[in-house]
Amino acid sequence: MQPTSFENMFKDAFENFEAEVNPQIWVQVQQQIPTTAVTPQASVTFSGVKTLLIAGVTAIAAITAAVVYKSEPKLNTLVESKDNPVDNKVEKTVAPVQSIEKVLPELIKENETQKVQPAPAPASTTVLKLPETTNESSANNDNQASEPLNTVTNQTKIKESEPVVEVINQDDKHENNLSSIQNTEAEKTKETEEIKDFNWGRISNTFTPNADGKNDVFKIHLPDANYFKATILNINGKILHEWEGENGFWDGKDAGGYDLPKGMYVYYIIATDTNGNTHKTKGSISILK
Amino acid sequence: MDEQQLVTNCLKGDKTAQKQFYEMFARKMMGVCLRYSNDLATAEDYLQESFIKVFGKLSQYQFKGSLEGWVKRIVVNVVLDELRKNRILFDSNAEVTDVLQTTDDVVSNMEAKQLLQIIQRLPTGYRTVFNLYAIEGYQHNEIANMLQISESTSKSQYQKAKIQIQKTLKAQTII
Repeated sequence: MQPTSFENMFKDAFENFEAEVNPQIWVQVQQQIPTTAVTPQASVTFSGVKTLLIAGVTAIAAITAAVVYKSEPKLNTLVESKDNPVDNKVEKTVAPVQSIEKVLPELIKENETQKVQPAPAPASTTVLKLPETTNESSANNDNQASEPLNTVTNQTKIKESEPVVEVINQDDKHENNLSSIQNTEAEKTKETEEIKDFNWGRISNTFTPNADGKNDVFKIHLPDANYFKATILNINGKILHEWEGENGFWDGKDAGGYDLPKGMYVYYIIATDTNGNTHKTKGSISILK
Repeated sequence: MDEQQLVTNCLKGDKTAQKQFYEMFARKMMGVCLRYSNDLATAEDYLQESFIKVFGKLSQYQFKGSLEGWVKRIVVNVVLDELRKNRILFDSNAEVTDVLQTTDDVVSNMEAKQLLQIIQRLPTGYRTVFNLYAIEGYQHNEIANMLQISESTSKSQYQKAKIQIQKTLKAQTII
């Protein structure tokens, strides 16, 4: 079937069709535009963590990230001074993470293999990577490690290793934040959650349009609604009647004003609450006679 | 500023550019959303979802073809997704015999706003297929794919939509 002039008429009519836009929409949209990568690293870690969350490896993954991130520079410096005592220190550095060791044996194995390898980076770059506290000690490392200096390194290492745990905790908090962000996102995409929050009141399911003055019309009262529109359809989905707001009702007639037979019909309500959120529901309404 | 520059600025996080981009298409896309819905609130929902998606996907825009076409495809996809979520029903009895005479002259004299009202009064299934076929210009096999229905259902829905529109048009000219 080729499009005829009938189709073309519609196509032409809507070619440049525009409509007024509720300014509220831009407010909503604007809030959800992804913040683009001004600082690429930050956004990478964010999306990284987010994907991990979705993958469901949340806690373990965050800890892994923290451990890898935190332990790498340390290992590098330690490997540089190849003296035997340092090897002991490596174990000490890893020690606080032992609880994780159970969870992540593979990761630790990887770290161990890294230990055996000679340090790839020159001393100067490693110094740059280190936090201020370790600067002194690693600079001293260049002068070849003597006993007292080693103890200094040891202390700084321990000092540093404690915060690792804190970092992990912080990451957990961060996760909570993230999940709450996700929750709000989910709310914004509407669906069932919102419907729970919205009080639909008691919508009747039968009425008797026989002009006896009792229950002759189908009315809807929505305590939470700022505005609503109700649509009545027959079971084939044909729209029979529509109204807006609490003053409207359905008298059991079709769009042409003719009485409809008894039986089941469908109502569909779209309501806006005082916060401007949209809620929808549907149900059945029977005409009894 | 050309479209490419505008998109680039939007991606950089330039808020003015993002607003400009939105204003460039919002009114037109609202027109599209209205055609696919039967009330304002739903159309506004569609529009909002669409633009959130548009900005989310903007980095994927290849600068091929018209930007407006790209935006509109996203809008239509969002609408269809929403319809799928609400599980609209397409009645699939394909027998359509009742073909009315065309009322082209009537259509050509009508404003888009009046036509919109007629389209909005169609059952959702009819309306969706009618939009996709008559206005967006998709073929029935494409529509069948998009809506997960058979090609014959798409055709019969379209025929029924057309008949109902023609009936309405006739009634309106009599009045």
